Amino acid sequence: MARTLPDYRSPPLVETLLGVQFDPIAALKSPYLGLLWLRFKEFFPDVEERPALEPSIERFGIPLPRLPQLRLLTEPPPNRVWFLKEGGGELIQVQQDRFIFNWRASGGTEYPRYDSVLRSFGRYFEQFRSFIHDEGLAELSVNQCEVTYVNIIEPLEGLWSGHEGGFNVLSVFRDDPSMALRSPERVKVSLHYPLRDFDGNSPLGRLRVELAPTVQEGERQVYRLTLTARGQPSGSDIADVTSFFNHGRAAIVRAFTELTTDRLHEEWGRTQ
Amino acid sequence: MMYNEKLEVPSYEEREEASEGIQRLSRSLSLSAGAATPAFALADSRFYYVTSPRQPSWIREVAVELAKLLDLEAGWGGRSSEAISEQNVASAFDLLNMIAVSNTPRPDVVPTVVGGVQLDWSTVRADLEIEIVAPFRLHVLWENHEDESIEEIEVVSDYERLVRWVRAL
Repeated sequence: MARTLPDYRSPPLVETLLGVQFDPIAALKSPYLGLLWLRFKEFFPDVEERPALEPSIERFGIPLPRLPQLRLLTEPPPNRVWFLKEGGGELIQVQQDRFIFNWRASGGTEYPRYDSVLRSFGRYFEQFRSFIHDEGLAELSVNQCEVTYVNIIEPLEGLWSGHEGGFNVLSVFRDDPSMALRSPERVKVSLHYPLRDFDGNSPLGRLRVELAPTVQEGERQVYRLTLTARGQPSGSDIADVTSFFNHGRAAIVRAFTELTTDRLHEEWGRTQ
Repeated sequence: MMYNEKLEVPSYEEREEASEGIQRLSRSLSLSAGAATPAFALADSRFYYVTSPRQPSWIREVAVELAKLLDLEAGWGGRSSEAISEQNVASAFDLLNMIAVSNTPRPDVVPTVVGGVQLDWSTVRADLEIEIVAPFRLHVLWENHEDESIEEIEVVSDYERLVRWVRAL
């Protein structure tokens, strides 16, 4: 029987991301990115350019690599383009080896829920694939999928008012009155878990949980809790990609619930 | 970038004649933050090789061979042969850093007509071919001479078998 995922009326979610990384398409340079925008322009009328994201892959079977990443930059570094909806609440990011769809709360829209975000990704990714095919650029070979949820944890009135409350965010911390070291003024945590396939055997990827202090609107001390599931899908078709997204998202939601405290769940209106 | 190992600087006489590929490499190399033990670093047109007990003794020479692949222009091996992708050269170097240890035999470095890089080993025990077809995609062929078995796999994330084979060479 499938396990039901926890749900919340008002989760502290401020951004979600669904993305794929594929074998680089060298020909996908600025002119083609401009042509691609024409296919999205009607609903994504704004464009911005950013430096390209570094490649990212979850590897297994080797010691944790402490090695340089050799970057040969004899050509101008590739660009990443953002296609933005009006208000910036949804955007598509494209570069030579990435396609990403983001929802952001800063756009003023309510979180549309995972199923809607997934449908949007699927629709836009198929448009991208069609473009690559129509222009004869390359075969798309997906090597990594990524699901990311970004949350902003606000102080709780009566419990904590700033970064010193970080101890109250994660359930892995416990307040032991016998300890000399209590109530750190700031907390920063990075947790990595293996993400296994549906049989629980082979490693699919990793679940990364990062808690870090940040400041909003100049002085409000909050915590950013980011959960990322990244790994290799079973293939490059939308069905394979969707399967990984679903698996990764389920891992994220369960981890979010297990790692945060009951008190915060109350605040966020946990319904199941 | 932290250097916590002995820095070995070659003399002027030992310095490699800087081919265009190596010149490009020396001008444009950038190492990402967090690199604790880089195999080598380049400044101007000279090589600085940072030694580490873990690394095989041939790592610098093979790095130079990899860099020289960038000199191959389109058509190097016939009309349809492509220039070697810089990303594939970089991936070959990263791969050797990850899987080779001090007693790993030296590989042969072979360009492929589709712009990739192949690393070949041939020992008494086995033959191992690793073709870097894309930065995170390897085609691996393993021929075990002892039991005459042959295995062919694609490696993207799971390096366990590949590392086992390299250790068995």
